[in-house]
Amino acid sequence: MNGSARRMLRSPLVLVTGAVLLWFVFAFLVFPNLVMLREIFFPDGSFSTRAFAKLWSSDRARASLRNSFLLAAVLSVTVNVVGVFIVLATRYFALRGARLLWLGYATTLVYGGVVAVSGYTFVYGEHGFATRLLLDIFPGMDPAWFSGGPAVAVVMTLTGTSHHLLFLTSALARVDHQTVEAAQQLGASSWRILRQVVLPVLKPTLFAVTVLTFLGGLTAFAAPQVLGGRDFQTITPMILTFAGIPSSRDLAATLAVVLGVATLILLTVLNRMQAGGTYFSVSKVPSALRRQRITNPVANAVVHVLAYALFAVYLIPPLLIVVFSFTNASTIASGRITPGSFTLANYRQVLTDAASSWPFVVSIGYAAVTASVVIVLMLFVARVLQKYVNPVTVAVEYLLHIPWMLPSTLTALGLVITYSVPRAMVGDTVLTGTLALLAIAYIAAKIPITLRMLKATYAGIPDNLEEAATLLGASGPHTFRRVLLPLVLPTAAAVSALNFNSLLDDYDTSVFLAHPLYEPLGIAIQNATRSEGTSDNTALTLVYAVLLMAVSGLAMWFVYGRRAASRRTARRDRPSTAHPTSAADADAASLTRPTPTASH
Amino acid sequence: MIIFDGVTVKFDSFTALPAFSLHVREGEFFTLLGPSGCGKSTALRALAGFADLSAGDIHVAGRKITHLPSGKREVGMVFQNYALFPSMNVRENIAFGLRVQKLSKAETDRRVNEIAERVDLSQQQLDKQVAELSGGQQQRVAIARALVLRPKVLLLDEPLSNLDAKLRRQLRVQLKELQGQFGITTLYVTHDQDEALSMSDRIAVLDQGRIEQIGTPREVYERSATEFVCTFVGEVNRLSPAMVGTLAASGASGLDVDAPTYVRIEKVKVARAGAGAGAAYAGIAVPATVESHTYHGMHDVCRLRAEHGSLRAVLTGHDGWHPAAGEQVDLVIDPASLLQYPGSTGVFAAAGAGR
Repeated sequence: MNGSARRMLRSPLVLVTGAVLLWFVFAFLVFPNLVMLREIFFPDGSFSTRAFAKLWSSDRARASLRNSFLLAAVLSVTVNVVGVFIVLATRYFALRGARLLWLGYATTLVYGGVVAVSGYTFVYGEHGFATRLLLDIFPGMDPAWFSGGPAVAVVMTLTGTSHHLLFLTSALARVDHQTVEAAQQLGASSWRILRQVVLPVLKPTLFAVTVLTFLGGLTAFAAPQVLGGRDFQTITPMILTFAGIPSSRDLAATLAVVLGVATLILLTVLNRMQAGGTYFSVSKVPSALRRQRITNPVANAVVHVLAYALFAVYLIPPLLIVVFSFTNASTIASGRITPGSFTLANYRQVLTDAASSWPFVVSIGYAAVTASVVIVLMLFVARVLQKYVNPVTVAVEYLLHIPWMLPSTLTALGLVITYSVPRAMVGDTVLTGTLALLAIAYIAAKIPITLRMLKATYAGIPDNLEEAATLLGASGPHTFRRVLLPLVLPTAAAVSALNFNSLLDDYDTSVFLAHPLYEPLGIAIQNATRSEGTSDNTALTLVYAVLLMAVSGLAMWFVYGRRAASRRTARRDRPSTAHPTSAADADAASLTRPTPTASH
Repeated sequence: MIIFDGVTVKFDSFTALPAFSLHVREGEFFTLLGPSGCGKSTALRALAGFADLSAGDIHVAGRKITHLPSGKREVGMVFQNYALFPSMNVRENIAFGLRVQKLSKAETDRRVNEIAERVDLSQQQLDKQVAELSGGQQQRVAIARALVLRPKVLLLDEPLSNLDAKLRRQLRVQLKELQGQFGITTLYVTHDQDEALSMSDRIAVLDQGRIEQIGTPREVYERSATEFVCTFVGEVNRLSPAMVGTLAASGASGLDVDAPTYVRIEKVKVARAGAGAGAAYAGIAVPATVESHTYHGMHDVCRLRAEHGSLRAVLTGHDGWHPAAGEQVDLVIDPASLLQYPGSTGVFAAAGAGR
């Protein structure tokens, strides 16, 4: 046993927390996956590949697999084309109104998942606003024109660029402007500079976001479920369907495992590429990248037109959601706005009527409680894992990343199957169908990102701060409370905001685990979106969507806007003496998994 | 006051400090000087309680502190980057240790104000955030935070290395004055020979965890005990055996022609050709040609080529003479200034005339 392990075992607090953590890891992260594997390979106690044969003989299952991989491949191209364009248009080229354009494109940061799917359906769906307008012009057209694979691909392309906005923008900002000037001075054209100087620096990030996009396509849920129709179903909705049929549960488990294996392979490739392919500026005094003018007037005009057309495409759905959330049911149904259409009744109903506000209350309750539990737990665990490096802590850290490596569908299905019977490790109770199981899944899902960001922040605190406190006589807990905690709290608050935000409109996990009487917002929105025609629920859904966007906007400002503000202040003031890593600075850590708002 | 007695520190299989022994006297400003990785910071961290000892003991003021936790060692430390707590203001930083000791608020305030006055921090500065202070002010806060607990020993871990050259020179003086005011035994770690020579009462030069020499700055510089110390401290010319032979043939007695022989660059004098030894400088004159000439403000440095090798020399230019490249000159070496390290040990041996 090495020195680190010995020191660790001397602390009773670490021992007790470690025991609880190990129980949690085994009971909710490892064991459910083992049960799933047993369900597939040992259905009757002996080894069998029957589940795979069954999968292969099911046309629907095979089609879903094919569609998922096809969607992932298509998105890898389309999302990159759009994503790179919007990043270059707003951050690399000197376009008029670049800041406004960025705000339009950034709507995907506050408007993703089921809310986005609901928004696009509201505008372009069979009963959508735009469809009704089009039907007035072309009465013979198919009202369900916006459905199937292409519709899914379009929605997921437009809403899938949030990775580019976050990570590629950040990578572009790190390009040393002096390298651009050097290339200019050597006579290179703008196109050559972009191709040979700038893009190669972005290559590792581009590769990472491509893998994330591929994974997003593979695990797509809400978009194919609502827009895919019968002909374009993908793996995850199919898992949900099969899981609801007792005789097809093994098929659901097999599909989930296939998804899990594909995810693991892709993440392994991503990690390998990330380890070996990052370019760092060799300059001791790198200078900030300045926007480049497009000197060719034709090219300049084309880029401007494209940029503003995309801006409109991005902005129209959320804008219409906001506008129509303030109108009465008949206006929403007809799509014709008059001065008398506007009302606050929808908001009044959601905010005052208990039944209408129930999904919102449930989601806020779940998100607040689980985000708080995760942050309190991880503040301690991240510290222990950062301070004590030994085989035990390394193994625990790997295990805590299981929810990151496996699709949420797999985790959820594992929990449903495992705890549908009494289990000794949870006190011989059945957890499936209880309020607790969804909370457990939420906590497990948020552990990896929280752990990584907090650990990075702890690692960013100079060791000698702790040494100085120790030398001044402070005990370990005193040093933690007075010296370390104040430095990690900004990150902890930011990560909590992100976690809270992403759990608020969760659909993928909730649809498997939610208690029927406590269905969160994601399910409510999705149910309303899938229902035929325009119902009373549509108005409520629009209000839910607006409130979600407001909460998401607030969370994003809390995490990113405040950082920008503090940078502006820092430029005016003197530099700080310590450099704790902020949550936003730890962006890179979250590169191995999609951002919370990007799930579909 | 401080005794390292056979202290060994290992990091896995690497021994950073092998059986290190040292005695620092009370009230002394003692410097550990050496290149990166020589073990000087490890020795300091062992004294502070941040490095586990594999063997040996450490005593401070007659008390064995080897197994005491850091906070009980009565040792104050100023870190390389000061390690000021960024979430606290200056006053809270200085009061941190006093609050840990649970002193009353009145006593804490009194001692914080007292130390702040002694290190020249104003009341206004006490209420600032540490990030709002300049480098020099931050250093004074770090010193105040360490000294307010009235430690027996003050440890300084390269506290000037993050500062610009001018501020470094200013703070050297301030630091030495503060140490003098408080009369506290101080162990200073640096790789900067100028700092070590200008501030220390005594210096220990370290290489690969071993002490090469302990002495006053003058002893270390002028009578470097080993070839390593000679080449690490100051700038030297290594003379070729042929040149040492020339000097020996010209009357320098007691020189070992085969021993590594050095002369500090400021000890090589340059005279007009023919003026040579005796007229301007004492020593043996050797004809040479100026190869290059670089201007350094307070002095010039010449590279000279003689028959048996090149040497560098410092010209103060007091007489307004600046020999140009290609000019014929005499270089004058006083054999008494030669440093010889005969045999395989590379240890200094008295050689040459006048030693």
